[in-house]
Amino acid sequence: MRMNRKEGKKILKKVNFKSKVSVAKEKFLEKLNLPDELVYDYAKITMIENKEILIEGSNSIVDYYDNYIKIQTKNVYIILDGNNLNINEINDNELLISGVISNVGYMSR
Amino acid sequence: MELEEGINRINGTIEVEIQGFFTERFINLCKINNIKIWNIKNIVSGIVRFSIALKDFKKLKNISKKTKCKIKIISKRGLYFKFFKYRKRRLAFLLILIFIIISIASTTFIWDIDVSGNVYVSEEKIYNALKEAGLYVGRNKIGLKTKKVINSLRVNLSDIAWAGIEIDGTHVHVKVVEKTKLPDSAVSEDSIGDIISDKSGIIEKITVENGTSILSVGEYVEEGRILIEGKIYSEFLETKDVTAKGTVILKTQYVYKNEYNYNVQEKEYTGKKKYSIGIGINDKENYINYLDKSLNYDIIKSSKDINLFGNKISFILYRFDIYNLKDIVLTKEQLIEQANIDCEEYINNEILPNTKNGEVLDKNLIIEYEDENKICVKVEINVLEEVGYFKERT
Repeated sequence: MRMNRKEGKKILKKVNFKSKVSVAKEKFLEKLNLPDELVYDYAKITMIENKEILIEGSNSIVDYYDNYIKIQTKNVYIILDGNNLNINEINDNELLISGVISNVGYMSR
Repeated sequence: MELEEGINRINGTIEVEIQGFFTERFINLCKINNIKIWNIKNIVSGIVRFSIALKDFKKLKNISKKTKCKIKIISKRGLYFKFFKYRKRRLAFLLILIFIIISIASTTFIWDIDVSGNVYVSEEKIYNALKEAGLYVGRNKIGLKTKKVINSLRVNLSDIAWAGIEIDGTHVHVKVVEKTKLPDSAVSEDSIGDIISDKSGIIEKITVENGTSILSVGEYVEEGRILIEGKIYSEFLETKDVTAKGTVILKTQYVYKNEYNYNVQEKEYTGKKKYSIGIGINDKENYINYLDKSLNYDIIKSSKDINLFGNKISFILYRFDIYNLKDIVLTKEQLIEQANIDCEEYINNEILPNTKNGEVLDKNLIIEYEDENKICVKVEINVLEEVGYFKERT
């Protein structure tokens, strides 16, 4: 079915408006100086040497082995390599992993 | 976190092993369903162990069905499982219950009473008065009306001006304030009497406020003699009886006498110490005695006392310092120095506390006699002090 010219213009207007709103929102939040992980739901990773890693904003565990863990977050997968990797705590938003971590990698979703 | 761990320890925790292909999904589902799991360990691929609270364990059933994982309990921890294990031992539970009841019940009784603030009213009198008022060791605290006890105490003991009772757990602290006794100077004007010397000495100063004194400065008075007579003599009027008043300062003499040996034995500590423990009931002490009787010991005690229904029970830790006796010969100067130190101690502890406004005037050290082994030292101490007490004439 061919799209009417008028309808096409309407949709274009809507898209433009949405993009303008999102740009305005970003600018406004930038001016507030809020941390990025709160604004864009980025995952925050805190590491203590190679012994402990705390991931805030994790979604779920994809793979779990003794020496390899793959964790899904909103934007990327986090891949941990190491030995004796134990999940000390897991709750809604946080994930605490301990063990000997040898490598932390990222993979885009 | 610590509180949560404590609660889990009481309620019970279980260590669970899951076996299957989708262990990750199992963990994610636990997270989604708000089931708290911790200490997750991957044993081998496909086998995961974790800890879970007892109350959440039943929720795992649905998840295991979904993920097709087998659940196996590895260990159970917590007070709940301990009680469950010993549930058939009713006697033990009964004993624990009785113990708890006894310990709670015993705290409702009074175990100890101490009295403070009394100077001239004896403690025994106060304890008896308290007993009459219904406060004694072994009484139940429930139903004790302190106001009633205080009122009764004040009625029975007229010398007490104020009393306060403070109940601190099983101990009762009774604080009393006594009525102040009138000093000698505040003897009522109506009573007629004299001031009589209570010590012998030479008069240094005499001030008569009321009455007559025939004594003068420099005169020697003996104990029991009238210092100020409660009479006023007049050439023209009749002799009038009054209350004798005034101050008399006497120069009194005290003597300190002691023998000192040239040959003395001195303790020489070896530095070795021995320890022992003991128990004492009402000043009767018993301790574990494993000491060598041929050695000399200095015993140092430190104890902790408990008052149990009026009986003093003390737990004592003994320390025995071992020493050897060593013979030494002192010189005459050293002995005199020692005599001076002892004399000072005698003045401060024996003489001055028993005088009124006492003050040491001078002291004179004399060696009374001496031979090869010892010397005898005599110290004459002259003291200025206020003397005299009021005696009503009958």
